[in-house]
Amino acid sequence: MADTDSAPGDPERGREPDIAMWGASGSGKTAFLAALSIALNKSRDAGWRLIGENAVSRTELAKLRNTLLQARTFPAPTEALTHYSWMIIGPAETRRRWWWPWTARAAKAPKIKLDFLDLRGDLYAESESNIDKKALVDSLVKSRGLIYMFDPDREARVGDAFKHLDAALHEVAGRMLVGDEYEDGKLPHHIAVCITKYDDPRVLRIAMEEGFTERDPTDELRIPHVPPDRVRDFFRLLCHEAHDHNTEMILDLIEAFFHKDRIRYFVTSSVGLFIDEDLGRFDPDDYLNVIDDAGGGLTIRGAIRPMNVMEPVLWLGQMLRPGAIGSRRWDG
Amino acid sequence: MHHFAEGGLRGELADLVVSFRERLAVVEIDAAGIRVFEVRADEVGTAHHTRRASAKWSTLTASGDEVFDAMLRIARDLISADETDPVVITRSAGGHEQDAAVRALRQWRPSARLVEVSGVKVGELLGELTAGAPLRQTYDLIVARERAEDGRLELVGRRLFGAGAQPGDEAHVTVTCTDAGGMVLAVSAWSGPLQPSGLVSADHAPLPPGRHALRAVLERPGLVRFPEVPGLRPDTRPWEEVVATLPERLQRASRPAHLVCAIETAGTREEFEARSHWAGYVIDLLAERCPDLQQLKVSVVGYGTHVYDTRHADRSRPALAAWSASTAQARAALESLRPTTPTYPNAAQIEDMLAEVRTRLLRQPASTRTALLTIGARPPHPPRSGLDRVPACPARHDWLALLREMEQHHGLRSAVICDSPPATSTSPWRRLGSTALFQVDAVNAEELAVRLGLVTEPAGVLSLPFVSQSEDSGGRH
Repeated sequence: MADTDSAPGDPERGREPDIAMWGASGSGKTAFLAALSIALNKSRDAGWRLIGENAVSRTELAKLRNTLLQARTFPAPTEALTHYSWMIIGPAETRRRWWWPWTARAAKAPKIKLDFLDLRGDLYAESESNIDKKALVDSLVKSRGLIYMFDPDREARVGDAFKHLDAALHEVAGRMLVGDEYEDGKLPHHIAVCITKYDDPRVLRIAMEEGFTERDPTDELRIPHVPPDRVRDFFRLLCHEAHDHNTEMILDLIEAFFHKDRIRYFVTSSVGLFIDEDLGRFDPDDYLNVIDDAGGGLTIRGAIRPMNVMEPVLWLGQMLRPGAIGSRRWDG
Repeated sequence: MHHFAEGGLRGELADLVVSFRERLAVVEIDAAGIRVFEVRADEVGTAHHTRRASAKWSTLTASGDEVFDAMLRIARDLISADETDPVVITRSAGGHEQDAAVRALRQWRPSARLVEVSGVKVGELLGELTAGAPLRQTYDLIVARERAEDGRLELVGRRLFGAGAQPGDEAHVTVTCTDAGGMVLAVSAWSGPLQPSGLVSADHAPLPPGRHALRAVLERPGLVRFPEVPGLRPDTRPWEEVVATLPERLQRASRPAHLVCAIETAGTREEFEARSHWAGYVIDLLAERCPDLQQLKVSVVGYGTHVYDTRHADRSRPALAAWSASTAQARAALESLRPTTPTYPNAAQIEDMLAEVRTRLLRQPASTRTALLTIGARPPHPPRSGLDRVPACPARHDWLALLREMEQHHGLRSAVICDSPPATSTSPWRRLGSTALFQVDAVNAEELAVRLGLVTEPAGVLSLPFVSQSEDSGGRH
């Protein structure tokens, strides 16, 4: 692909986004993106990399990584519509032809194209039309995979997720479902619903106290996790605990607009839980990895161990490009 | 009708003297006439008997009445109609008048028990039975103790005898006499757990100052003796007058005192200097007020904030600038402290400071008055992270457990001077400042020193027994 130095938000880029991302302001979208490349690097299945397709995206990626890893804090919230043209490239795989086994086919690396739109979280809910909002709705309409970020901490305090989601879904549905193309009345996207900030004490405590967590016997750090088959119920419980009564309807809203078999729920954390290196394992009395700093901001205390950050992206990639990584192990 | 020898009547009446609620009436009928006795309990539960009426048969009929009518009139006047108040009739002679009297009493109180006796003097028997009855209420010795929160004196009861105690029972209690003029041994009765019902007795005991192990003997209901106290004589002053003479706080004899000044160093130079100023001011005040500087020791500890962005847990300890030093040395140590840059905004190493102080106090003599003055802005770290997002102390010290331990073992009084008022009613500052809590811009150093128990106000004489917090195993207000 040509190295085009197009500016973020350039509507003339001529490419349709594969995956679009949305969530309320402060729901952790930017931190999620910053953590994505770190998560891929830390993956045991080494070889996956996140690269920028153009100079702007490469620069942004470097800045996001640097913010998290060096400055040990979080990227500033998105103020304007920003396009990131990224690509996840997997390890090259050499395959032998079964009918000519002594010669190998040229190695080929699997690729997932990610056009992320990072945008101000509350833009969807704005009533007046503007260019940014149109671009956003366009991106949702044109994308085939969605990442929806749900921030339980914000919902417990502010509770505006339903308003944003409802507005965005109706905009997209109004564009896509009025014609005859989708006769089943459902949006065609695959959607990864990401519960963010699992490291937040409110979220982790609910998960632990309500019995949603399990310990992976192979995990030496003994970090409690919510098993995949219980994430949907955990999501429903978190919606129930929210500040806004309407939040309880979010799960039903998602399942009303999307095919159930195209929805997957993930419990994520961009930075993961704090692990005392002297102790070497999860300590239920001391797991805060994000604490206030003396300057009035937040700081990341220990090692960054993203949880379920690359998994939603790779799942969407698998769903959208089944041939590319269909035979690849991506969840371990 | 019951026929009893004296022993049977004694048992019957003894049970009634214990069990009656409001009053017990006993009517003695003999050959000469009638006598009406009544047994009542006073406000402190002591049963007393009185002879309410006495008349010969000739007197009863002098105005032309029949015996029956005269007896009925007396019964209406003197004997309760309430069926819960028992009535006993003793008859030691038979005849027309006696029968008429019994009929009249039975008409007034059909449930009255008639007992045929001989050779019994009811008045004397009731006197013996009331003197030998068990206590109907509990008896406490009234003592003074210092309130844990501010050192003010309060009156509480130390149990001598519980309800049901028998005459002859003994009790032991150890108290301190604080005045050369002796002390008042006052016994109060309690009918329930909440309020004393009244004063049983108050006697002046001319004992010398010091601790005294007292033996109390229940002579009879309403009378407690202290046999080993010579020269005991009744204190006839009204109780309100005795209480009015009590001082607000105890004038302490000089004994060793130890002030630990813990100063948070994290913050701006101005913040640090304001904290240090008050530490120095209090130390100077004590030096000025203390009659014997040899008895006063001061420690100075500086503490900062934990560092959380290092790879390994921050195990740094507070800076011990001086321990159990003279006031001059403590002043110099205070000058050696320097402000530090806050590395965490919402909590400081108070729990580590408490752990350090606790360890060092273990070597201190038990009799030392010990006070902790914490001056800072940030509360302690919790032993485990909570929803407030304050990370746990790296060493997992539990500030509250450490504070309680020192309060229990050393009688520690803890006061604080905060940069700003505690944010919530559950702020740790409120517990740390249980003795006194001031803001750095409004400190009453005199009051602070008094509350910490390090200087005393001119005080009156404590004329009641004193018990210290460590001796006190609980009491009733």
